[in-house]
Amino acid sequence: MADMKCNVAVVLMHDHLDGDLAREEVIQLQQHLVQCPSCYARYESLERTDALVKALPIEKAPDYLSDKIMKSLPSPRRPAAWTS
Amino acid sequence: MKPLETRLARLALRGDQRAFAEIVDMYKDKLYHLAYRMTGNRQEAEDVVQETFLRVYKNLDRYDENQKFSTWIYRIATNLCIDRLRKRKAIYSLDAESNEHEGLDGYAMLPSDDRTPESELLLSETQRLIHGAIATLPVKYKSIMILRYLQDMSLQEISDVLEMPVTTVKTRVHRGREFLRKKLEHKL
Repeated sequence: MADMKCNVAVVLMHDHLDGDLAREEVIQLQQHLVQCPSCYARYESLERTDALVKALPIEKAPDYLSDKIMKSLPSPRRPAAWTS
Repeated sequence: MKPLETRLARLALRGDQRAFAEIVDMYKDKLYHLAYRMTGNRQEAEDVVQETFLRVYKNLDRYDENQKFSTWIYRIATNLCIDRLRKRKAIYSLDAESNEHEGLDGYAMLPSDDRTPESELLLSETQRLIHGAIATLPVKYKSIMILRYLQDMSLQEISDVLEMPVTTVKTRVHRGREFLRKKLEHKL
């Protein structure tokens, strides 16, 4: 598959980053990347974007939030025995 | 045996507040992180998380145990975020001046939140750029990219949460990734 088109290669790059590419297709993609500097650069750039986005720190909820949530809940329905 | 959340949900439905508090503890940080990245604002994130749990609580009797509890709660939270972003967009599009901020999705026009200068410094320049790039993603890509990358969901799980075909999710992940690449390419 030395003549893989660049637009096909781009789809495979994304599938690869999704962990969704068969072994054989990975090899075909690699063959294209070693021959095509612009696709190689694009793949590197996509891979880096992926890694950086995944590395964003987790924002934790403020400590008081659990209490605030529990207090905001409607109170459980009481038995209506004495109201009748 | 049913998964832990399902058992807790049943107990909560019977009025066990502690069981519900457990659910809150299990999900509050995950949902806050989701909502913060979606809205770009801490106060709104807090409101979304609170509203999500309130809806869950009120609708416990409608929870379908055949689906994962996480799918259900993420669906509620994601929809609340999407609603807010759409409303925000509608408000700003009524404002003639908003044209110059086109494509910013309302984000840049929000008052800055109450982050203290000290914690601001802890954010690296790179993180700030990525946060900014995510904020400018169009809504339909934003929810998918956040679920994919920041909640580490599979394409199938995202498809369950958003109730759309896996093929659509996949296409949007690809486009969202290209969008972020282009935004970040010359800055990093």
